Amino acid sequence: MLLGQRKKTEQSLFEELYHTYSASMYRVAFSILRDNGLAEDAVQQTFLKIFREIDKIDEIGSNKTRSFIVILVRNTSIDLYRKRKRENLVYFDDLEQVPRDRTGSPEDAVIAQQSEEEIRRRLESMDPKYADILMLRYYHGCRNKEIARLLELSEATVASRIFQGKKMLLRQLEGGEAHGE
Amino acid sequence: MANDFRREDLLEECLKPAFEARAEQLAAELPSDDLLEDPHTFSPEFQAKMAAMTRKAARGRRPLRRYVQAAAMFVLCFAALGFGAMQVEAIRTPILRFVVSVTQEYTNITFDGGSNKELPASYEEIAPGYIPEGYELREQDLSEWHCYASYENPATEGYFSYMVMSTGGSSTSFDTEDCRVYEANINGRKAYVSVKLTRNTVIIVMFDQDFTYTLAGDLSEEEALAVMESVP
Repeated sequence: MLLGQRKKTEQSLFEELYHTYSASMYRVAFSILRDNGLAEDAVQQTFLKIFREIDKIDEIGSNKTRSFIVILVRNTSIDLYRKRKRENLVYFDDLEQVPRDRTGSPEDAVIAQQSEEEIRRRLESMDPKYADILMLRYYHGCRNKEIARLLELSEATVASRIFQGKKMLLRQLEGGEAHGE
Repeated sequence: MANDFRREDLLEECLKPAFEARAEQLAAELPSDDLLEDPHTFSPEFQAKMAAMTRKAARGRRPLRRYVQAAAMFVLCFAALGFGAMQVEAIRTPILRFVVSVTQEYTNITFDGGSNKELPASYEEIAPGYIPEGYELREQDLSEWHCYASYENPATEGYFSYMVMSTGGSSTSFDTEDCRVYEANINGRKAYVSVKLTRNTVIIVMFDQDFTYTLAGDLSEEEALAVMESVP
């Protein structure tokens, strides 16, 4: 594709996203921020992030694209909310201690045998702080550096949350197997 | 140890299809605007900002790095040709200035100047020579300006990250709340060490003219310092 054609595609894609989802994005942002001005700021900042990562967008109407946008606008809104509340901006997240109370080592087959439904259920109940990052990494194919940029976190925090999220899932899946679920 | 990594690899494979369902759930939170009953009317200020952003999209994204590199090369060439009498040492030793600002919650270091040098092509050239017993390299990601690596200890579930980035024009912030923080000199490089008083976690930020090295993890202070002392 010629450079000129690619630019036009990016521009038209960006415009189409704006015309298709801006009001919906506002609704997501407002549900968190409860303030018109801040919600618009959140939407605008999210579009800035989308603009930088426009190559991650394929189909406008796909679940993949829409879930990507929801994760971005939600996290941007939470970030704005914290700034407004003057909560601590921790650039390097505290690394949480992982309890070393694992009772056994399940066979590899245990994990493979877990139904997608079971894993999906665990993901639903997981703190979005971890679930969103795991999704950006393993579903949207974002690298740690990209996730850090999108969610305005340090790379160490992103990596830490991926690590913690996977450990939590593994523990929950093993715990379910141990109790005959 | 290898089994723990293998189990994680299996989990990652299972996560992919599970996320399809989650994507559907999240997508439901974002219907297209034409389906909304009472869509928000954006302010004139918002519409003006978005119009500007759309015009920028029309110009296309320019890789900023290439422009910075091109500009840097132009300046260097111009300086070499137009200022022949300039001392070569003045070009070879750019002055690194840094400003440290401390709040109750975090410390920020902003750099100005520095060499803007690219990272080496292989991770081994910047990797620490000493890694505490039981820890293994889990992943590493290297580009011209930025490197990230993570190490894990499957037996203890310990973890630490190691980052290297080009110092010039960058800034770094790190947690200092409820921490013991002090300056150090590690093999001629200036460093800030932040030890969390309530947990066994350490952050060390170390820098020179070229690069900023950052370690963060649940190592003891002694181990963390030993790792940073072994950085080439």
